[in-house]
Amino acid sequence: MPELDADFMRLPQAELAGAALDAMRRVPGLDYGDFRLHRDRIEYLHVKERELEAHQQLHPVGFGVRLVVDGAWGFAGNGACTPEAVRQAVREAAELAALLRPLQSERVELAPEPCHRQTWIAPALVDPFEVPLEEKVSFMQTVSDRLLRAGAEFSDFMTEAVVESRLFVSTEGAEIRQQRTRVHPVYQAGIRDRAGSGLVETMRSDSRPVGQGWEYVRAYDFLGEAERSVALLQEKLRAPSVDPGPLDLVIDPSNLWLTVHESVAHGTELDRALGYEANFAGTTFATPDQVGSLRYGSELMHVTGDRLEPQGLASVGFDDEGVAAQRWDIIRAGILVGYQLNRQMAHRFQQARSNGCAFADSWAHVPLQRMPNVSLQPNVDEDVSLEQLLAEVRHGIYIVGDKSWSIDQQRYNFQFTGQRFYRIENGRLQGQLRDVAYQSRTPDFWGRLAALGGRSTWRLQGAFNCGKGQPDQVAPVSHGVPAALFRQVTVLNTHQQGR
Amino acid sequence: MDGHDVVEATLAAGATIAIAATTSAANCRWANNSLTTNGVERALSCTAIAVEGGAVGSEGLDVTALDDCRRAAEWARAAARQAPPAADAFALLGPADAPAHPAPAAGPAGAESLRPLVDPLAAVLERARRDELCCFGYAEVQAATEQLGLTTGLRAGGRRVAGTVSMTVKSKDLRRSAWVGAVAADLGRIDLAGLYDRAAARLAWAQRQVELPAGRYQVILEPSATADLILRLVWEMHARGADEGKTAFAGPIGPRVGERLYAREVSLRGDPGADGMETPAFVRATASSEYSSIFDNGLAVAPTTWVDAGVQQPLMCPRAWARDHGHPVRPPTDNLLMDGDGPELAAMIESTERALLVTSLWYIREVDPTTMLLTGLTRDGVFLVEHGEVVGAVNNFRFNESPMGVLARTLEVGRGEPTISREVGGDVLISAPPIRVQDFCFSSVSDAV
Repeated sequence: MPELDADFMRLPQAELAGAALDAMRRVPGLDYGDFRLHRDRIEYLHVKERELEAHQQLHPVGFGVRLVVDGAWGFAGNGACTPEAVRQAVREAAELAALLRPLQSERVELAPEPCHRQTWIAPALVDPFEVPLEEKVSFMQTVSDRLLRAGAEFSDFMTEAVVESRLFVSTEGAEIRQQRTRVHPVYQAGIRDRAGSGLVETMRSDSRPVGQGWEYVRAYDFLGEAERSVALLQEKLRAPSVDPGPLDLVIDPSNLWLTVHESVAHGTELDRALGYEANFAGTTFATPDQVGSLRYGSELMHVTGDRLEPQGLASVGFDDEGVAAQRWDIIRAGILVGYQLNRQMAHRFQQARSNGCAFADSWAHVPLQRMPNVSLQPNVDEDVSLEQLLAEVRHGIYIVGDKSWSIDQQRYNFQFTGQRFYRIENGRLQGQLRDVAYQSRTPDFWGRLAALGGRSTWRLQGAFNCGKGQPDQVAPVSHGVPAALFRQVTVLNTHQQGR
Repeated sequence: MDGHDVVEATLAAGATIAIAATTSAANCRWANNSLTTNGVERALSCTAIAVEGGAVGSEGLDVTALDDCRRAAEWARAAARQAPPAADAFALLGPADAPAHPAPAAGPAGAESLRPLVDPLAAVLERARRDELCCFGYAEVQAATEQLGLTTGLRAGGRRVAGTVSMTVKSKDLRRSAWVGAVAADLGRIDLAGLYDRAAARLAWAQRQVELPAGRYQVILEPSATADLILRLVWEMHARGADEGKTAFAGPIGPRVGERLYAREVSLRGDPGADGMETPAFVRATASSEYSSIFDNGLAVAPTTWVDAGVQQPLMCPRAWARDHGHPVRPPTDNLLMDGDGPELAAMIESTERALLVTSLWYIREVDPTTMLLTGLTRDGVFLVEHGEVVGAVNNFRFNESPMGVLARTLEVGRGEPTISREVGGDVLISAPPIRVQDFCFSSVSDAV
């Protein structure tokens, strides 16, 4: 079981939190205040071909104070961890609340939350920062060497590791310490397409970002996958270009997670639905007046939100407002039934309690309503296999791995590509295709969901870098997804589009 | 304690290269005619880079006390001792290589920086309520001073200050939407009332709605839309990607430098001294990449032309790659200027027989790096122009286009102006003109408003 980071524990936590709470209590008109202390450890490694291209470690540390004064927000953050800087930040946050209060037409009210005083540490067996650099680089070079010996002309192996430690205290009496660990190792192999463009075609490993320590890197069969990747890439270079048109798609969890992320998870953020992101990340077609009636997709759709999934990138003990982690339904039998909330949204939405979706990516930023793990549940009646899904298709495509993605600001029109595309003929895979993208409109696409894979096909995928908010913030998030069959989805030929 | 102290303390503790950044920012955000969030942030950060036996360690942290610099230097040295030699190792630059005039430090941005905004924004929100419109937006001021020191004696400093405002105005029924944005060194110089007027005028254009199918259209891209495309073009302008055959700049016998890849009217450059868009005039690299090498820290960044009258100029190239592959050394520039002394947007509209006027682009992602094919969407303002005037608002579209192709099919370049990329915001300072492009490829209709 990991322990809280020693350098984080060496920060004068009691002194800083005490200075914050003391200064907050002196602010006239204070309704609420919280103080977050962050210390992160971040490491980037990049081995290009057999050479170490880049190695960088970052140790951001700082605090943020957030106040509600006479019903108005004020936030200030500082990277200097001294009581003087804390007191100055409280003053500045109060000043900001007073200065900008004339621009606010509605008082900030927060849904209640029991007061928690706990420590929570995400399980991680091997602290990535305890693994010697030589071991990491040497392993990455060995995998790169395997890729190059197998026929790759280029290889890039990148790892990112993060340990995130936080203290949260509030004027309501909360005192929470927590720590999360995550790693994302991934390689990309490249070969020149000499028969075609003359330029480089690539393929990525199937490894994924996870809420685990370095044990994930050690357990993953990168060496075994390296030769397969190069063979698949060589096959892809010889593959025919796709004939565009409506086609049945069987989509692997390694691709479908991103479609869930963009079209469902972002579409069910309540702050978007209320217009908070209208100037930047966008809004959503899933508006609050349609809860209980909006048909998001097929009756097979059961989508949950949670901050509890083991190894989930959005899993926490408590969110950045001190709300305990929960699990809830977002879409049931294809109908919108719930949203992602923070305490302010929960109050506006007349909920008794937030479901714990507040997150700030740094001490410097105010917590926003951010995405929990949003997962499409598998077929619970029968453990339908991938082969059974493929058997349902006479003429279609099986899509593996994510690549390019884009969706409009109301979460309707999207386009995705992938790492590999296999032609399906009469229920059997018949080799790869190239230049495939699928394009659809969210409710149409999910309405075409014809079958779900069972629990054995369900996989937790995700990303470190989900963006939202002004100033821009990034958040790590996971999505559990089964394989699934969709009927008659528009397929484009990207090569033709580019001409 | 300031950035200078941090640099000297980090070098004294054994680092080979030290970079200090003193940053501050203040922001506020509003939606539905009411403030939603705000914030101020202040930080002094340090990057300690150790070079030992050709190997590199790089450690960055936020500084509370100078002792933090010692720890950063020690960690960097320990990392360098464990690392294999760097492929891009190169002799470090000396004092003679530093840019001539270090810029003075930027003044801090704090809560007070937002004060000039309060009354004008209150007036805008009141007007929106009166006009039965909904106003959403964001204002931010950022100030950063960066200082660099090397054990060779090189010292350099530079700063970057930017104030940005972006505003989306929608009709009450949310069926009409318009976006406007502006950038200036001082937030007080941005005319909020003028921005609101522009957005409101566009909503008036949208009283008439026209549904058009996907297809190829002549378009006039407003400066923000142009900015988003040229930004992505320049991100691909690195010599290594072209040498390795990974980007659309790769040709059969080397990078496509010297080729006329774009319309003659197209020129692109960067200039750290550009008036009102100043950026540090030297390389700061905390890690090596295809753009710059950690060994090039301190390399002077001169005004640089990337595209000259439609002809591709040499690509970004660090010293080691330049030495090994026979290219000129070309450090990246931190701002992007697309020259344009053509007509104002209004005059371009007046001279148009039929085209779509596109305000901004959104969610732009690479589909195929070898052709630089991008996908993305139009957002908050597509208008039909016929016989010299705007005749209505058009539905949004998804596009599949290459910025290389767009700039090759550019028919007219208007007057350049400071603008902001819709997706990247004020993080990159850009000046761009409206441009007229033929056969812009819209692949499907988007229902989003």
